[in-house]
Amino acid sequence: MKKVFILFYVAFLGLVSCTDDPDPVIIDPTKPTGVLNVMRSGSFVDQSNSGSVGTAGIGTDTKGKEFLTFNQAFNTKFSTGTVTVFLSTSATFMASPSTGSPNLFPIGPVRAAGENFFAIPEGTSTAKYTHVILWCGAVGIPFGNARLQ
Amino acid sequence: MEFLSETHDYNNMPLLKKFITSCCFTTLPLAFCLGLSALFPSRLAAQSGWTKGKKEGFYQLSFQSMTSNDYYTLGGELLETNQFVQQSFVFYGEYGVTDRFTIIANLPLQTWNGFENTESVSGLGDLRLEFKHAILKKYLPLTISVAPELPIGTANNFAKSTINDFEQINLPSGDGEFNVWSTLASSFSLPNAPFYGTIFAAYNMRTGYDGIQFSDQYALGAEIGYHIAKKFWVNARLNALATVGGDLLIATDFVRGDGTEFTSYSFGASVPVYKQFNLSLNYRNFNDLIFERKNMYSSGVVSIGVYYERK
Repeated sequence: MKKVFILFYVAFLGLVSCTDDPDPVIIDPTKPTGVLNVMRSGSFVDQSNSGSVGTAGIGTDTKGKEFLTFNQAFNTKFSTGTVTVFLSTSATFMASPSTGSPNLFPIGPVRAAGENFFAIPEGTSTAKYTHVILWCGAVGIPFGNARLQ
Repeated sequence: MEFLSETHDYNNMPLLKKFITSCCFTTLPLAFCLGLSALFPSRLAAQSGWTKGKKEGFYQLSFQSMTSNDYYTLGGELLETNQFVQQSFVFYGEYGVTDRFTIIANLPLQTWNGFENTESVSGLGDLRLEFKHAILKKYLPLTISVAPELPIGTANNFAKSTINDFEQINLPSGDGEFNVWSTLASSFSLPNAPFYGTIFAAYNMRTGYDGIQFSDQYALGAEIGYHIAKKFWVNARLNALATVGGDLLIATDFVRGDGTEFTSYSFGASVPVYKQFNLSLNYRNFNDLIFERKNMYSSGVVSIGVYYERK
């Protein structure tokens, strides 16, 4: 009887171990799911001799989530300090703290060259923003801008 | 002082001797600037065609301050930025090992850097040691010097934004690199008037930091000085700094002075206050006369110092 149980147990383990479990799907909310369909894009114009190059684009992924993306060729001056990305209604950084800076939408800091993705918060309309601005906030100078069209 | 006794009459000796020994004060305001952050383009050395006499010494503590919104890019474009403030507390000393050989040290003991919307960060600057040899002493005082700059200062110092907590900027008090200035300087004094002049040319062989090779630099300068009423020394100076190999299109590392160029002028004065202690004042500013301002903050720089002379 004991041998029967052992055989049954071994057979059970064999069946379990042979089950073809699918790999877990990890969803990274900071990156687009599936294909990112870029609707508007433009190349960076360097400012302040910071060496800004590459392309910025805005689009939606297969789940309809909106992203700002920089392509593989993107680069700027990182060694100085934090470079912050803004959507803007013009090529000029026009901060207006007293009115909440209606012409700017802060995306966040960019910390590395190459491909970058920035998730746009849900409920945010990016339609009125025509430019992406790279801004060195400590110094208060632009490192570059890209016109989205 | 050998050349004085041979080229000037004895009636003038006391004045001229004092004149020459006091000339070292005129070299100091530039030395104030030696160890400042590369954000402030002041890496020109104290220069003259004279060396100290054997066992003579000169020791100074000074404080200097500048505030500027005017940043010149690598292309020479003027940008108005947030206000940048830099202050520095500097030791400078000269010692005559022999009549022909002087050792000079310059060490910014503390340098404070900050923007109006960041915290202020501070640190030790780089140590510059200069070994100066008198090639000619009699008729045309001529010196050659080699000055290694040792990167003992704070090479990275991040100041956090006071507005956004995720923002910061690197404001080092040392440039992180080993470099060597080589300088040829010549001076003259008038036989019957307490007036002197100096010219110099210098080359800065730079290395690099964090895998980035910096461009070499060269500098030119001239200075004149005059002793008023046997009491006050005044001087005026013109200096210029340029990058070897032409313009840099993109800053390899702008906080470390790569690609920096400028022309500067300054006015200084010195007055004895007690025995061998003296007070010195200096004002310096920048323009585009010889070389256009590039990769630098431009503004007036005020410095005040107390120095002691051992004769």
